[in-house]
Amino acid sequence: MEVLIPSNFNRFTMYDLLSSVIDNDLNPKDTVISFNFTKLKFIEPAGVTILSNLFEWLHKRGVSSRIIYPENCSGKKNPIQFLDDSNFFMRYAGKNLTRNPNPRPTTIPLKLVAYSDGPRWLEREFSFWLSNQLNIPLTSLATIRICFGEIFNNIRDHAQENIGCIFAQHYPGSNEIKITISDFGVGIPENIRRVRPSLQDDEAVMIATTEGFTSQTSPRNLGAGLHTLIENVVKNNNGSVHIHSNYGILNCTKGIVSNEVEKFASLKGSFYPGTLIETILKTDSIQNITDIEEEFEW
Amino acid sequence: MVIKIASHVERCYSNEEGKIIQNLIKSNLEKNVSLTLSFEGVSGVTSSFVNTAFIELLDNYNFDFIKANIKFIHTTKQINKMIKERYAFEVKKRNELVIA
Repeated sequence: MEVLIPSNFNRFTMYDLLSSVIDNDLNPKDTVISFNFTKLKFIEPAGVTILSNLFEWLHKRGVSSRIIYPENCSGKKNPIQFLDDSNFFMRYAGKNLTRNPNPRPTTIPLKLVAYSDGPRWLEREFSFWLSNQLNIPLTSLATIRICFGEIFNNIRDHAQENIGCIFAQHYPGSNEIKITISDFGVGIPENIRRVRPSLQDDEAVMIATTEGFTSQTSPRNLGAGLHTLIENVVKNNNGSVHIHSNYGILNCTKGIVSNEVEKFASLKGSFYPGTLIETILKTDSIQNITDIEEEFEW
Repeated sequence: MVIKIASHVERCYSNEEGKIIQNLIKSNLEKNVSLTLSFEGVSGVTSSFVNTAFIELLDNYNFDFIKANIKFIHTTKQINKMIKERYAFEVKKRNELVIA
């Protein structure tokens, strides 16, 4: 079968593609699927991660994914060039589709990171890239680094898959960095329903971010990781966190009046295979963080 | 006694790394040895690490005992905040369970 990648591909427009590939029993619709990129005009960082996650999910189920692409696809603003520069086609087509693919300074090329390599990736590649992008010392990035450490721990606790697909892009003009991590595991709702079987997917994702609520997937899981991520990114950094897992979506932003974290959960008709977490950091807030030694008092 | 955390774990991210530190703390507290834990060389800690290394001590010791016998030095704002917030939440939760 052949499916069309939408002209503007992001976490909002992904559901039509997902439902054209995944059937109601949550199985792939075909054993060979051709992804047609000819109509693609723009792809967001989340779109790169979503496609990578989908290709990995299909591959795990024995599906052969093929790529149809336009003939003329070079140029900085061309999305095929952008994907090639991001290492996407090398990974999933086995070759580059453009003549001179080069990693862009404002992006971290697509990466699949195993849980065991997560901390090293955060301390080396991610921190050095972010430090260079923002021109601030590595010591100022400790809190941000830990936030993503929480995501890796969450993947291990919830996904039953130890690999995360990661892509990040810096938008200097809007003082934002978008970092999207996805796993192709069973999803947060599946785990939450082990202890709260009556919850819908949106309610399950919401409760997973509540401090102290634990699905007890690990005896030491005390339900603090996603809460810590959201508090740090939304409350302290003025950024936002968006979680898509199975049929559930949770958007976390800072209230304009309350100045507190506001969470809005919703239910989709299409299934996301695993968990996608898009984190939007405000870079001007990161620069204000100083993480120097501070005396501990109980 | 001073325990330099970085001498025992490469970083402070996982439950497993937390368990190594928890075992060190317990073996000293069982011998009535008060501890100073040094975070020199540690840039940050996750909630998973703190939960296992420090919060699980509440299963064996009360919070007043922990405060009297464990000190933290060479910490950062992120480390202090994580330890204090996790203890504040878990102590409150356990107290509420006792009252209920």
